[in-house]
Amino acid sequence: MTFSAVLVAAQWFFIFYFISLSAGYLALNLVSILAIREYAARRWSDALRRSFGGLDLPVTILAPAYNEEATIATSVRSLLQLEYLQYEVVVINDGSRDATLETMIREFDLVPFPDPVRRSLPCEAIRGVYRSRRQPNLRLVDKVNGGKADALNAGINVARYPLFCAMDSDSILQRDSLWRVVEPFLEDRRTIASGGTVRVANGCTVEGGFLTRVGLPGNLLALFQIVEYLRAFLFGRLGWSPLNAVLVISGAFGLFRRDAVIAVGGYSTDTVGEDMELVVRLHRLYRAAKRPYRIVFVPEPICWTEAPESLPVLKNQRVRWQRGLSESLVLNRSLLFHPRGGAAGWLAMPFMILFEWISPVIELAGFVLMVIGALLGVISMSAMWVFLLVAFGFGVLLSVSALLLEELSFHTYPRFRHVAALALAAVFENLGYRQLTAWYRLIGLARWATGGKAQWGKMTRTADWQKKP
Amino acid sequence: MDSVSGFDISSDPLLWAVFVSALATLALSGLLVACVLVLRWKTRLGEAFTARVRARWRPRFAAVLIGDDVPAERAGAGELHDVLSLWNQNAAAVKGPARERLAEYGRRCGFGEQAAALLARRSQHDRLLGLASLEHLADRTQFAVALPLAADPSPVASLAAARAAIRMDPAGALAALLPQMLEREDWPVARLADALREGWQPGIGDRIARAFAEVPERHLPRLLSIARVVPAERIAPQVRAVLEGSRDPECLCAALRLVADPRDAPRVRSLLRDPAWAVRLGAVKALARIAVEDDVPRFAAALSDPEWWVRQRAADALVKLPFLDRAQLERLREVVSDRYAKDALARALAEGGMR
Repeated sequence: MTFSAVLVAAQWFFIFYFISLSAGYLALNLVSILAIREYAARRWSDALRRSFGGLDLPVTILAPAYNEEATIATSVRSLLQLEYLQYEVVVINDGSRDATLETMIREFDLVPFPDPVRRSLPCEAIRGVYRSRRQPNLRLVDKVNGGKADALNAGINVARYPLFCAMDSDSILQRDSLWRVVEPFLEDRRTIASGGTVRVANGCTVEGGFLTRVGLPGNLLALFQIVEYLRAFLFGRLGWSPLNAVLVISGAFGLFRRDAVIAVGGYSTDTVGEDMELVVRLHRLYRAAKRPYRIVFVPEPICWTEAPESLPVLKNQRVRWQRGLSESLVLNRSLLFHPRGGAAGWLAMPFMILFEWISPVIELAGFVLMVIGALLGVISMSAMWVFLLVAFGFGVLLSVSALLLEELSFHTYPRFRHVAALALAAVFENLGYRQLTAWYRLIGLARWATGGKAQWGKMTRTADWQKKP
Repeated sequence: MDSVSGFDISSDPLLWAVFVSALATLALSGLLVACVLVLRWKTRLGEAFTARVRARWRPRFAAVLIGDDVPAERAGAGELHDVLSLWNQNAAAVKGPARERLAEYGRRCGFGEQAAALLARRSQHDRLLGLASLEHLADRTQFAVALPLAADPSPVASLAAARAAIRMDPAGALAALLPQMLEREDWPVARLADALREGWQPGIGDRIARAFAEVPERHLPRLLSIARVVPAERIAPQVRAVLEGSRDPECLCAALRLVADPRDAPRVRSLLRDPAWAVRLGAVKALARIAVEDDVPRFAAALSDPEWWVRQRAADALVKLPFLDRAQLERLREVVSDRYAKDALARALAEGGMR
């Protein structure tokens, strides 16, 4: 086979890969539309929630912190103001090298507390447990540094309630966030985990740790990420929920049954994607043991997070995510096409491998080979432009359908100009931004392939949109 | 294959098809954006309508709450959702005579029939709205409408129906729903107990007490949990019978939760040595309610129990006993040889000191 024949064959392979990728996502989109309509029909309004209050299950919120002295007090204050009947907040200071511990002691009047910790899961040594003299439902675990997963395991050991909520200590919540994610546990006793939609907080107003006004950022990178998050959450995850095949619950905010997580060995400290790895492992082990279970995705926006506004920070984030994805899939590879794998093993995992894991390789190789082929005259310029046009067209369609899903459900962005700006972003993010993130993901894949020690998932945050409480 | 390098789009049907599909995706994208804008416009109109409805009904409900005489008016079909939501919001926020006035006004406005009609809808939200309204209305004439929904597979809808029925006719609902209350593990007992407590009638206690003789042992744990609403002296013989007769740890745990009579102390003490740790835990908590000074060594022994939870609750019990002051507890902590016992007592003392 000649070089030109290889290039032409590659051209068609890439075109069909793009079309099948887009068709796969569009199918997920259709499932999501049905799921979101179903969810909207049974969604409890605020008034009804008050009527049925008291059904809630007690929850332990785990907030791992590493060098968070600047934001920890505001974050914890917001956690203490959630609308929920019975919950406790456990902050885990994972060997911070700054004044996180001292800030917490000062702000919340913490005192050492001789809490005998039950080591249901292995974790690094706990130096001490503190309890607030002002807030009876606030404790802090001070431990030797071991990473986020290790910190969460320590928190699970200390937790007193049957459900725990794992979150990033800098996540921005809504007052009813806990309520929203606890509903699946009330509706179905088989539920072992639930997560919700994470939104981008850049451009919004945050007061006292709570989001008070939704807005759009001036920064183009952050604007593109809003569309990207809508796409990822509103059908990338929601579409899998009715099939009980959700493979990712964001580490920014997820609710789990404590005994289920302990039964599968807690968070893995060998991965930077401990949130996804845990969920895939829950699927794998529950299915292998033929235990009935449900892992549910709630489309409601329940948590807001700051997106990177600079390329180096975005690159670090995407590299880490891709490494986490690789580790999660490889560590749980036995779920793939397992006889009892169900939709998770037969649909979601192959989909994830084809269209998320190896997609940066295929996408970038497709673009590069296409351009080389065109420059060498092996592929016609018309064919190249058609290839680029189809990739662009499907990309825009997917992003715009995510906007439609958002409009069908939550109308989070209140003004007409927000919708118009997001529609424009849905078009322009396909002209460079997506290719750039594919490049970062490719670097992540390479770093995973060449190995290296997992580090705390730290991201530089500016939080300049956050007002002082 | 070399011929590919020179072709234009129209000469290759496959490439042409790909090109057309690319244009189609762009056209479809444009259409979806238009849909988004239309939906946004419709949402705006809906929000403005809701605001107008709420502005019209809110002053009426406020006037009813303070005791003014407000003429009844039926909510229009289009505004029913908003009106009932607002009415429920008010009803859930008040208690006593104000709540009764609001319920009476709701009945006069015909909310009962309108809420009952919502129960036939497919939307879970509509049905829950209807059930919440019926619960607040406490209209006995709708009892037969709400009761069948207690068999709904959804725990939330079925429990809401059960609560609405209990609110309308507590004794009648208990008679009809007791088998389901015992069978349906997805109904939180605390919520049922709350509803029964709110509509308390002596007949409820008699019916629950009689049920002990009728139900199989597997239902005893739930029955005992529901029996928490019955005065302790009324239910004590049934609790004693379970403590003496059952060997099932779940039944024993449920019965231990209801122990309040010192006459049960010998049996409770014997259960401190039960092989099931959950029973030992229940026995520690039960004994803490009826303990005498002679029981202190028993709690001290439980501090060294192999189970973490038993040790912690024994420590809590010791701290709360009226016979020991802090100095005695500190001395006890010094003398116990078991490290886990020391830790448990230290935690309980620290927690006691922070209260």
